[in-house]
Amino acid sequence: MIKIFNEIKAFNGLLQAEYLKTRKTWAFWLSVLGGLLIPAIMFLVIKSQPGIIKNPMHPTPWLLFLKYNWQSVATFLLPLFLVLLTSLVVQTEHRANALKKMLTLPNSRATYYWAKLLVIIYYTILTHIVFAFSIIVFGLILGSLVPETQFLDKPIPLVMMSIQIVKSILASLGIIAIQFLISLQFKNFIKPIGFGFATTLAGSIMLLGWEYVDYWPWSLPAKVSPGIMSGGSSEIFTQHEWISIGYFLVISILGTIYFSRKNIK
Amino acid sequence: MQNIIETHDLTFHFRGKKNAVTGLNLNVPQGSIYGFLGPNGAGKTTTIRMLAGLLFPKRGIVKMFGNNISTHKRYARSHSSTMIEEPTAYKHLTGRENLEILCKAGMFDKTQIDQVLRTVNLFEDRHRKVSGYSMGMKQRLGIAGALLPNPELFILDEPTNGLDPQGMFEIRELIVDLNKKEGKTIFISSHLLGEIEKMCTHVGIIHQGKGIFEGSMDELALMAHATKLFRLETSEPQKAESILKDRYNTKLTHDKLVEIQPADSTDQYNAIKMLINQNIEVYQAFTIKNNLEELFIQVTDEGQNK
Repeated sequence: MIKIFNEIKAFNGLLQAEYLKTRKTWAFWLSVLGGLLIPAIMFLVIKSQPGIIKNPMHPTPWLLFLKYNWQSVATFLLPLFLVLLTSLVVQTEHRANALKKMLTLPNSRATYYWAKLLVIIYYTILTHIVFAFSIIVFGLILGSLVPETQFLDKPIPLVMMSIQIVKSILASLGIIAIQFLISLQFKNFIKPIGFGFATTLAGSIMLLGWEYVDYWPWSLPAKVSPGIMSGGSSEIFTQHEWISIGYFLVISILGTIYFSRKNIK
Repeated sequence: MQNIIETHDLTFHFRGKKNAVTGLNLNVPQGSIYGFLGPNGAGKTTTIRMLAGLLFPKRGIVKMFGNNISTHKRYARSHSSTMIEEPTAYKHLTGRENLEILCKAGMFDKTQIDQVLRTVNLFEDRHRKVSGYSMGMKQRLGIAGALLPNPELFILDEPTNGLDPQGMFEIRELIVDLNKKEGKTIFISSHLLGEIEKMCTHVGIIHQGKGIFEGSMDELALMAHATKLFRLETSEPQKAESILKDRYNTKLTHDKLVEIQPADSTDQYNAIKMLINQNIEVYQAFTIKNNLEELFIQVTDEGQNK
């Protein structure tokens, strides 16, 4: 019992350390600015062409606005963001020559591995929240600047937005686990980024109609949240989230075992 | 005296490469300052990485505090502190923030931070970003990080690297203080014999991955004495060498002196006489007061010839 308590305490300490390390790096700003980018662009587009938000099929402008935003993000930008974020967080460690120090502290390597993984997930959640928050803010500003868009007259679909965020985060887990392991393995950040870029690009092509695209981790975010507005499932756990979670668990557990036995040069 | 670190037959090689460390046996007594000496590339850092649990030996074991570290890793780590090669430093953060991270990650006492910063003379610069630190300051920050947990054992890999003479002196003072006043055991690697000579109580010498000497500083000095060298400057060095070769362990130094290892003064006299009898002019003959530097070169030379 005491042992478990100590392990939790160690994990908590490592988690805070991980957060302190990355707080003032590009990993943090990428998460914030990355979440803002597309809603800001959509805001500019709709402000100059309010017509595209008016659609008799959609009773509220929010759903269409959400759809535009998610469609622009999920196929390419979100996976790419995850690739970059993971590399940046791990790169902070490589550049500081920190692995050899961190791994001689009293904690186990497994604790270290999962604390780092969790910080990456934390930034992923952060960017999703910034994303949703920006959509709301830009929607409201649009509503006040261009009243005929009706953003102010219709209720904000908060429940659906929350579901979308959760689904998207779950669908991101597979990518995070794979990219994390690769980033940890290679000090040269070009390798994980190049790999992630290629697989994301491949994924966006597969999305055009490859039958096994549902099993390609880098395509999973595109398969969940953007589809809800056009009749996709709004259940939190569908096939795609489970596949992503499956990848995450299998890769991370194997990764932990591998990392625990790895010779650190 | 109990050994704090013991290795038996410690062997390591990177994949597809030849052995970096072969069959190394170390015995680091409690309360010692143990100098781990060897030229660059001799396997010092590889050995330290095995002691730290970063590399897993291909053969042999490491015992720390009496237990095999592969089964008692946590105990070994929470009672020792390691600094390896270039120090760890998050350059986008201040010196103090770097230590705060270590405290969080290792669950060390945060109230010690200012104290260790003063100890390594970084207190004034604690709020500066590490990117603006000099090499020596980063090195001292690394040492501060090692001091934080206040463990029984310090394992320091070339801790004075990149420091100016003043900085080197301060770190040596610090290490001696830790040892004398607080009874800490310090395992310290270096390629500079002079440095080891100034502070260590014990020494282990590694060359090409193999241990070639281990003992107290006194034993090393004794060995230095035992291997007195006698050098002769002559008109025909090559010829002189071939004459003396039959009777003595002879060698031609790079500045064309003939060098022998005499057992006593009679040997020295005999050597000179032999050369003069063969009509070789002897200009000067002298024994070398064999300091450790000479011994170090000699020992590593022998290691090479094996």
